Amino acid sequence: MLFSFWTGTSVGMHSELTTSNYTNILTGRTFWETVRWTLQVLAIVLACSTIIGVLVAYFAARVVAIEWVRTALVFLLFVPFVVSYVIRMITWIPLFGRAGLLNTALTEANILDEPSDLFLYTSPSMVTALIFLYVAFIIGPTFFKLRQLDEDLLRAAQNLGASPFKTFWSVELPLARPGIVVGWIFVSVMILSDFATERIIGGGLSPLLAGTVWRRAEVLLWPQASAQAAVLVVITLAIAAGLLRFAQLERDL
Amino acid sequence: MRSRTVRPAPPIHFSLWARISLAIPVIIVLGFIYVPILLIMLLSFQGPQGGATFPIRDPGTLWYRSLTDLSVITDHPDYLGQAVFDFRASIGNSLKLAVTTAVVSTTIAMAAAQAMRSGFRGGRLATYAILLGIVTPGLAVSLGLVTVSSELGITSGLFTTGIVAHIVWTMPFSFLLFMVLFNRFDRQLEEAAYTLGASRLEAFFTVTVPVMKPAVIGSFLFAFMLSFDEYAHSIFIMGADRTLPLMLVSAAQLRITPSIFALGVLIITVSLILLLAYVVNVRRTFRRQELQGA
Repeated sequence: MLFSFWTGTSVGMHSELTTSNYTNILTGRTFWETVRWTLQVLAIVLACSTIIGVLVAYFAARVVAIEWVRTALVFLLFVPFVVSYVIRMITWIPLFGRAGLLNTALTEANILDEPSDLFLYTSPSMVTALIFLYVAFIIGPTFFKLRQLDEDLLRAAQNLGASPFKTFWSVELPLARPGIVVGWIFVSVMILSDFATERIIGGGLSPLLAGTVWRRAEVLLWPQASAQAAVLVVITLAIAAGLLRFAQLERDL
Repeated sequence: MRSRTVRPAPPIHFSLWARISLAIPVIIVLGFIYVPILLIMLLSFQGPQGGATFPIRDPGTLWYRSLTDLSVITDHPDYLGQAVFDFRASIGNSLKLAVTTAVVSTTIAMAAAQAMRSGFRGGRLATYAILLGIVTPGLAVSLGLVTVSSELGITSGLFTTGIVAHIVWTMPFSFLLFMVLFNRFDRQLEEAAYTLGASRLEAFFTVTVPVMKPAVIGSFLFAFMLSFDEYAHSIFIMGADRTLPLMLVSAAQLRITPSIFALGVLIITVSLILLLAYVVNVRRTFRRQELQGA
């Protein structure tokens, strides 16, 4: 019932359009540059947060030997799931802002002559923010997958003389892949729909796709915004569906 | 008969060096999460003159008190006339919306999961349809809703368009939680109830609901927090009723005041306490169920 309402809404969104909005947008160069930039940011963030996320999940699942330490660590890493990114984003400002602690510390230590704007309101700062805002969503599923692995498999690998790295690379990592892919889906979806990070931390200079939709809608260009939003939805669903197929989640979960 | 359970993997012995180098990413991630949180905790105790940066002058709980009563700041002798924000109305709106959303989405999700469990034609399609609510960018949902509702002549507001967008967003999460816990659910319990002469309705309320209590509470809490914090599913569609995340983002773009930090600290603290209480509760329930099952 709810879903029918939802389809209703997106169908309604289409019904407002004439094809001219689509042709305008689909042939516009700036729009495709935004799409390319968004996908580029997404790829960088996914690559970095996969490396970081898998390492952290591995640490929590395998290296920590004491059970309560593991529980505490997982709990600490769980915070991003319950505290909204709006609040977590705001927490960045006193640390990385122009008058923030990092700048103050660096200028006091004479590493910088004057406060730098690099830590906030730039594209690198936006990418860093996106990585650390969402990396927990890769850590979580990967950790649970790693904890579910069968003891006998790992014992077998060890008995056959595999080093921990070899075991990780050829046994644990492939088996944890569904978890990682679930994380990728989470992160992709969230980055594609995130427009506030880019504005508050990225400085609004290099908008991602969702940001351009927002800007259009803010100035009440509803039809154009809707056409772009439709492209955004298509891209998001295509990425999610592609990743789903890649992981063959139904078989593995 | 011995059921094959997956045992946790054997401990691997790492050298001290390996441990330390593997701990580095963990420390970085925890640092990026908690150093900013600790900073805003400190800064939220800023005095009336101080801004959103160090140093802290005249520390006190002034900005916390300003959340309920702005005059604490504006009547203060040291007040410099800088912008202050009144979050009270938006907190009220967010609370009302989050409670309603949580109740509705838990009810629908439980019904949906119960239906999926019995299996019906098109069930998988319906599951995917529900999960679309997570995957679709919130911005697009909001935009779609606002265009359609204005077409239909519905005024956007908290309990017209707002609640629909929020339920579309939270219900899939509740649904997933129910599906996961229903998988652990022992069908025979219900069948035993039927054999003992319970009607389907009686069995549902006296057997299924109590056993599913962790999912019900979890779904309520989760939906509440998701809705309370949700930004993307709230833009354009709240009409004149501004919710807290909307208010926070626009305030943060205008001027960062310590009251924003105070609010952030309160929300983080409450979320953590709720999460902790829930985790402890669920672990206890599962342990009891396992003991009874053994």
